[in-house]
Amino acid sequence: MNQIDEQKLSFVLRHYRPGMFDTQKAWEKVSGVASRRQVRRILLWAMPAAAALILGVFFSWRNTWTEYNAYDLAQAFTLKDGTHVTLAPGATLSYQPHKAPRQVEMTGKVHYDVVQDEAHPLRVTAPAATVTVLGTVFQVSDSRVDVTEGRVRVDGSQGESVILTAGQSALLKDGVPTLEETTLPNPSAWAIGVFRYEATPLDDVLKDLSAYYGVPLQVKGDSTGKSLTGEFSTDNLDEILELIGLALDVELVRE
Amino acid sequence: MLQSKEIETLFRTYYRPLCLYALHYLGDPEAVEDVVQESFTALWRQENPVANGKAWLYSAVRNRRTGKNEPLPSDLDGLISDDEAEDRSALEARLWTAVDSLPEMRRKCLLLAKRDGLSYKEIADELNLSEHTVRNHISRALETLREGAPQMLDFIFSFF
Repeated sequence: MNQIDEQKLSFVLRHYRPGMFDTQKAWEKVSGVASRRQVRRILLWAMPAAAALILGVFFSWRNTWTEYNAYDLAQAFTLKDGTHVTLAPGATLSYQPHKAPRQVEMTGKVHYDVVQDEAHPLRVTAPAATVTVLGTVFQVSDSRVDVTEGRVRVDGSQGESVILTAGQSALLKDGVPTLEETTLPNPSAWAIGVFRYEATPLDDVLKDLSAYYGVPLQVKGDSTGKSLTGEFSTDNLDEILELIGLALDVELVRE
Repeated sequence: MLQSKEIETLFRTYYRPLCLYALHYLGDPEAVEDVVQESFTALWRQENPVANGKAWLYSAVRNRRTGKNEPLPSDLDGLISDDEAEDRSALEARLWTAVDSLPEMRRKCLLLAKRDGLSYKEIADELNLSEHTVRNHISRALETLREGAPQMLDFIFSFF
């Protein structure tokens, strides 16, 4: 490293604190401020009408739904009870914070990390099924439910149910949930930004990565008996391929 | 008026560089984040079209230092041009991110050595490690940062 870079590094290290200058957190703060401002402007303008509505609003307060949308990027939100949700592009979610059981209605694909609360199970209503949980990590879309931690009950819209535990998935076809036997290891990589493998056969790893990035991947040579354990950030496919190649002594190519 | 999508892209690209840019003359990191966030909010509220969001933001942050009538801060005064200060902040932001993504032990050892000036022996005692392990952590950490820096430079040039 040359002189200048050494200077920059020592400046950075002198001021570095973990969690400082966190772009994501700051963005949530700034974008939140901006939308609140807009709301305030609208309220001012609508003041006379609002006065007439106040009584009605007061009585319907407990039935209020809070709405979240993701447009062309995945968006993460924290609900009032501390549950973390990540919405895939195009997904919508609305939440009723004042009622027990906790209730969420959604469309599209949503990943959940639910705060445990024995007294108040969370109920997620999607077009094809209703999912009831205590504290778990899972995701729901129009076609399937994947559970990463804990246990959930899936009630299909036709009345049939399955219970899923960590690592299991259910397909939702015509509103009927069926347990899926072969599951990709990281259904939620898009939401949490990480691929995790634990003694996963190399062929399954490649299937997983192919599905995520939409590119066919091949091993040059023999992959039998090779398996992978580790964690990779989803940022850079080439880097992942290189690391796996080094770890398992194989060459991986995009076809 | 810029679309919120454009603002978000500017934010995700320049938030950290702008923070490091401001950190050179505002010692207090909290004041830094306030100044940078206020600049984005101001950009958001601009009624007139803004042609170059990046340039607008850098000058907004520059003008929001302690007050326009005060002398230029010593760290930027005459030593390097505004352009150089902008490039420097982009590189420092990359280094910051690289430090952020070091494995925790490596980062701890590196900070204790380079920021707090502790000897390998003192770090080893504090963290309950052997001196050899401490030396290893630090040299691995520096290696990662050194390898990262030139790539970062390439990245920045190809990006603009």
